[in-house]
Parts: sequence; structure tokens; C-alpha cells
Amino acid sequence: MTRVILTTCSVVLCVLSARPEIALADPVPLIIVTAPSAASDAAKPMLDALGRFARERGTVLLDLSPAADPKPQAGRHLRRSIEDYQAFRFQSALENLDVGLAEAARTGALGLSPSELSDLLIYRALVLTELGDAARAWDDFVRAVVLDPSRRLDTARFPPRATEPFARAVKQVSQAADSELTIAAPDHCRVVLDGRQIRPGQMQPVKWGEHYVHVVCPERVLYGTRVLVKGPRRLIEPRFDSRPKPTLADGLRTARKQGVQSFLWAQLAFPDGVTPTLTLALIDTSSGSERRRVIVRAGPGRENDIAGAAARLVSPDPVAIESSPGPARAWYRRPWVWGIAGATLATAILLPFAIGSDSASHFDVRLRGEVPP
Amino acid sequence: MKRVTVALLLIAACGEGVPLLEPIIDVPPIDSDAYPYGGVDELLVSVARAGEDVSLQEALISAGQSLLLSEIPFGEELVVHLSGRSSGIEIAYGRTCKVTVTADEQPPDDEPHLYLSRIVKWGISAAPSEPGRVGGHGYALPRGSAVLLGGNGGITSVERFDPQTGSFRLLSIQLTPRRDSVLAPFADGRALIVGGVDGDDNPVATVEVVDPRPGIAPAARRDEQEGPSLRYHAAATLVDDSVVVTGGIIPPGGQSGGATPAAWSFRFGAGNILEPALQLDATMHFARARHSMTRLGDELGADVLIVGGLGDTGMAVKEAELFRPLRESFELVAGATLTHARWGHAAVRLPGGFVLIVGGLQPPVSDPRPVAALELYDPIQGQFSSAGTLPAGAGLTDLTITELPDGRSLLAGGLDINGQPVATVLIARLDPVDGQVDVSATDSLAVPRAAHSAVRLCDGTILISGGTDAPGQDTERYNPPPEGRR
Repeated sequence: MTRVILTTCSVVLCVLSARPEIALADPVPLIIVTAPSAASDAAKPMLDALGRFARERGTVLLDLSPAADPKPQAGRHLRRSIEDYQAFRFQSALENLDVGLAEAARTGALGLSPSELSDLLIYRALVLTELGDAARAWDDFVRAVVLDPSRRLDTARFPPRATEPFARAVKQVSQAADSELTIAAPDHCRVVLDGRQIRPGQMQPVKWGEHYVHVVCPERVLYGTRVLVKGPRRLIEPRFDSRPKPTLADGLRTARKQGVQSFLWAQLAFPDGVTPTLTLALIDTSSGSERRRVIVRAGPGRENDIAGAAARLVSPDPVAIESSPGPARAWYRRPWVWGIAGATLATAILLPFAIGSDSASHFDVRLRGEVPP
Repeated sequence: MKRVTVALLLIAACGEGVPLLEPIIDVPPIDSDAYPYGGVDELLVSVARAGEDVSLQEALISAGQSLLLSEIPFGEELVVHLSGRSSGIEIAYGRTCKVTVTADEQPPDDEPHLYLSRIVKWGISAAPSEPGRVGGHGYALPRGSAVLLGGNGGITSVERFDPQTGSFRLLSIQLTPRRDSVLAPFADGRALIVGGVDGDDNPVATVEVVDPRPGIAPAARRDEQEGPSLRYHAAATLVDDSVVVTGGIIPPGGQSGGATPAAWSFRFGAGNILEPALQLDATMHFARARHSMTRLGDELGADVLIVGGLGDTGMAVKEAELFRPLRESFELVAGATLTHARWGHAAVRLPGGFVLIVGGLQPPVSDPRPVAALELYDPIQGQFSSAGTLPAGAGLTDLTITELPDGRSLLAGGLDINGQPVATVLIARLDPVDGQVDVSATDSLAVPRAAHSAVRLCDGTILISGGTDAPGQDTERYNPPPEGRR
């Protein structure tokens, strides 16, 4: 353990001993931010922190992030259709349900809970019953049960003309064959089957029939689909398209259009697919060269870290202020190169000792108390 | 052979044992709807870092197998999750609070408890030391324990429910007997109690600071000093950890008159000791009693929304105003006027900074009627809008509102339109697409309750205590859906 601490201290000392970069005196009149649109939750702390930072300094903040995906509307269509159904406007209810189900098929039921998804089908079955189309109504009841065979309709909420055929559909589906569905996706992606989140790559037992799948991965376009599962097992391997991402060239073009000498380039990314990481760089507009760079974690609760990093990046050094940035330095003269080289060397020397001396690095869990009978 | 045996023994003697964390499963009674094991055909045990969806280690365990998980890497703020499944569907769930197991920090001697029950069900929980607590206060400590204190009828005890141990502990503090007081918790776990009256309706002109945190030497603490005499006032804790108290009636005074627009500030000074109450120069634009105060954000200087109440002439106040902490001033919000002037209501901040106004009473003051209409304050527009109506059977006054881990709000118990306690529990959710508040019913409480306390614990469950004198039913625990509880 002592050696681990020694190693860590050496690495830290090496990094710290690197000569600090000389800060710039000129204020930064422009901040340009980019974030993957799929990561709006992760991007919010960054936008909040930089927005506040910009407001306090009278700096312009431009967001070049690609436009976010349109919000799912299927839930809204469901609520409208329920209102229409209760007001005996069956045709309007049917239109709303068809639109909602079409969207669910396109997006893999994005934004719908399991009960909302099956409600779309149950209410369409009810509407079709009222319109005299019993055959299609029965199909929708079966589809709804296939999605969630354990569901039972609340008799207080649904009329007997819904609960009785639904119960018959439950009986029929329970006799149908089971299938094993696997959705292959990277571990950090969110995989949702029929409105329920599941683990990527884990086999799920499902009934034969239609199922809704969507997969959300940071920096990737949503994969959503409706699949017909037949046969004992089915593997879905989603194809993900990368989102178009603004580049530094886009930032430079924007900065030149604004007529500023330098700007702060803030780029949110997920290097390991999970952790939102913000790279802040001070860019010289005329040469396009990077003067300074800070990398900070950017998840929720990191607003102060982000604002602090931005402030450090743009604030002039009280000891040595340069009035102009000067020519770009050769890469081997940059302090961070020396810092990383030193840290790598120290790690290479000390790590074998540290690893060799460590005791257990894991533990076990055993649950007791009121365990299953 | 002998040498091999000796060598193996030596290796075994030199090697360190693998630490073992042994969470203790607590479940509701077998005859309750919340009992988790009925119909469960497999259990999923997993360990993950708090807040992360991806597990460090997990195992699917069928009936009869031991609940064991091996080779979990050391880490801080780890959570043990346990899911019960029926045909692959998750129907029961429970988790521990955060635990740390590292080379330097071994599993705690008091093994953490894990409350496992059916999802969206209430189960009877451990019995408190002080049964029948009505009109008391409850709040959560930073590490997720619940503190219950005070109450009508001269209850002066303070007790703490620790989800790590699954039990209550009566603390060695006795409060000054008072009712109609206001409690404001501080970020470090201490809490301030202001105002109220004793059993003879005499004002209690002191404030108390209670410190029920575990590990406070030598035991839990209570400090008392002079404070304003108030009743039917309101308080809010600001981001800088000071407390602002506004309005109320200076006793003696009826419910319908004598409200004050004055405001006081409380903060800790040198030595972490509460400074004397400071009456602010600024006053509210309207005198108010039985109003609400809701902080609109978590950033330094976040405004506090003040809504409703009864004015100094006994008329209900429709206009809302803001307390601006950085300016220490009160400002009317142009156009922010309640459709239903009300008092004795509840207000809760929803995602996005919206504030939902629930229940309360509306004029005439001589014969007040409960309000079922919901109203929603939009902090960007600075306006109220109608947000629907609570269904029949819902609690309209003396209910509790608790934020669920998934961002929705749990409305539990209270007095209905006829003034009778109800067992109804509703969930309110702000629809981010159309901005409407969806209200849906969930599992009811075992017994009707009003003027009870509700606290969200560190494992995401909701503990409700008091508000009833039904024997053996003092405390219930709600198991919300697993979303947001990782």
C-alpha cells in the first residue's frame, strides 16, 4: 500500500513539476460549445456553468451542438386518444393511436413506459371494438399481451369489454412459444425492450410476436425499431450511425466571422463511452493554434469545477503577463509533454513494485437475513 | 507430500482473507401485499457504484441457491442491489445505502440492511419508540437517515430511523413542548425549530437547534435561545445555509387575523453557534399566515417563492412574491396571482424549477372549504397556470409531499374534502412535453393518516410515520420503482 502511495505521489510530483504555462492577458470575448445532442442531460451542467461564466464576464456564448432529436410524442397521442375515447370521438382516437404506434415503431417506443406502450394497443383495440372491427381489435389485444404477459387490466380503469378479451388474450399468449431475444450493444448503452431497460447483450425471454427495441448510446444516433420475434432465439445487432459533430474548423470559421482574436473552445465528449468529459481550449483565431487546454469531468454537480477551469484558463497570470501570444511553441518544449513523460517514467519504474506488494483488491457479498423461503 | 502440505499451509497463513460484506435483507410481513418473494422465480444480485447503471458484478440466482457474489473490486460509495423477478419481469427491488469497501476501509461491523419489497407497494416497517406522533416534524439527514421529532399533545422526543440498521433509535434529547412550530433543516443535518404554542396556546418564544446526527459526542445535542413568538409562519433554508422565517401570527391571535409581514433570518456564526434571530429590514408586501415558502433553485442566491396565506385582515392573499436573498428584499411577481386564493396548502418544487401548489383551504374564512385544484408556478414566465384537479378521496390538507427518486412527487394521506383522514396516495408528475401535471393513484396506505411525517431515505424508499393512532401501524415504507435509485 505504501508503494502505491509512493507511486501516486511520484506521478503527481512529476506532473506538478512541469513549468506552468504563461497565461494570456487579453479577455476572451467568445465561447463556443459543442456537445452531442443525445447527451443533453450530461451537457446541461456544462451549459449552465459556461452560461453563467459568460454572463458574468459579458462574453458571448455560442452553442454549435447539433440540434437535439425531436421529443417523443407518442405518450401525448395516447393521452389525447384516451380523452377522445372517453368523449366517444372514436375516429379521432383511432387517428391519434395510429400516429402514436407509428412513432413507437419508428423509435422503438422511445419515451414510453411499458404500460403506456401496451395502453396504445389496448385503447386501439377498444376503439376498433366500438367501430365494429372485432378482428383487428383481437389482434391488438394479443399484441398488448405479448409485450407484457404478466399485465392484468385494472377493472376500475377498464370496462369489461376490455378486460374480458384481454383475459382471453392472456390465456392464448400464455400457451404460445417463448423465444430468447438478445440485443447486442456496447455496455455503456441504454437498451430498452418494450419500455423496460435491460442490460446490453443479456438474453431476455419473450413471447413470439412484435416487440419494441431502442438503444441509446452517447454520440450515436438513436437506434429504434419494432421487431417480429419468431423462432427459439433471435439476435439483434443494431447499426449505429455517428452523429455529425462540429469540428474546430467550424469553431474557427464562427470565431472569424465574429471578428475575435481568440476564443474558448469547449467540447463535451465521452472518451470511455460513459464519463462526460469537457475539453476546454483557448484557441488563437488567426493561427488556429491552441494556447492552453484544460480537461474536466462534466457530469451533474460539476458546474463549479467547469466554471473554475474556464476562469483559470482565461485569467491572466499575475506574475508573467504577455501582451501577445507569440509564436506557437514546438511540441517538445511544452510543459505538459515533460510532465507526461516524467509521469510515464515514474509509473514504469514503480508500478511493478506497487502491484507486486498489494494484498486483496476485491471482496465478496453474501446476503443474509430474510432470504427467500 | 508432507512438504507440499506444509507449503500450502504457509501460503494460507501468509495470505489475507477476502473481506466479506453481509447485507441483511429486511422484508415486510409475509401476509402483506408488499411481501417480495411470492411468485419470484429468480433473484438478481448486483453491486454497482452509486449512480451508475453498469454493475461491477452481478449474478442471477435461482430458488435454493445462496445469495453470494464474489470478486467485487474495492470501491467507495458502492450499492448492493437485489431484484426479484417473475418470468423475467422485475416485481421486487431493494438496495442498500452507500457502503465503502477498500483496502483501508473494511466492511462495517454493523452490516447494512437492505429493504426488499414489491415495487410500488407500502409495507409496515419497524415500530418507532414514540407511537401516535401527530403534527410532528420529519426530515432526512445528509446520509439518508430519517429524524422524527416533536408532535402535538406534548410529544417532546426525538428519534432517528437508520436504514443502514433498519431500526429506530430514541435519542437523548427532549424538546420544548410545542405545536404549530416550523422546522428548517440545515445542510449538515442540524435543524432549527421556530415558534409555535404550548398546550395552553401560550407562545413559545424560543428557537431550538437540534443535532441528531450519529456520532455527535457525547450524544445528540439540543440548544435553545430566544426567538420570535410566532404561529402559522413559514420558513425556508437558503443555499448559504441560513434560514429565513416569514409571516405568521403573533400569539395570541386567531387563525383569521393579526398576520405580520415581518421576516427573520437565522444563521450560524463563530464557533458554529446560532446567532440571535435577526429581524430583517425588509418586510413582505403582504402580511401572511399559513402560507408557503419554496426555494426555486440550488444555486447561491436562489429566490424563494412565497405563495398564499391569510392576510392581516383575515382575507386570503392571491398574490405571490419572491424573497431575493442576495438583496435581502421581497419583490412582487407581476401577474403571479393564484386562481384559487388559499392557505394551509403544500408546495413542492418540481423538475425544471416549477412549483406545484397542492390543496389548502379557500374562503370564506368563517367556513373554509378545501381546494382540490392544482396550480403550477412557472419560474420563467412568473405566472401560475391551472394544473388539473386532485381526484375525489385525495388528501387536501395535512398531507405530505415527498420527491421520489425518479423526479415525481408522492402525495400521501391528509384530510379529504370532508375533513376526514384518508389512506389515498397519489403520484404527481410534470409532463416535460406538454407541461401538464399528471396525477395517478398508487398503492394506498394501510391506514388513513393526517399530519404525519414523510421522509425519503438513502435507499430511495419513503418512510411515513405517525398521523394515526392505529396500533402497530405507526410506520410504513413505500418502495418506488427502481428508476433513479441506482
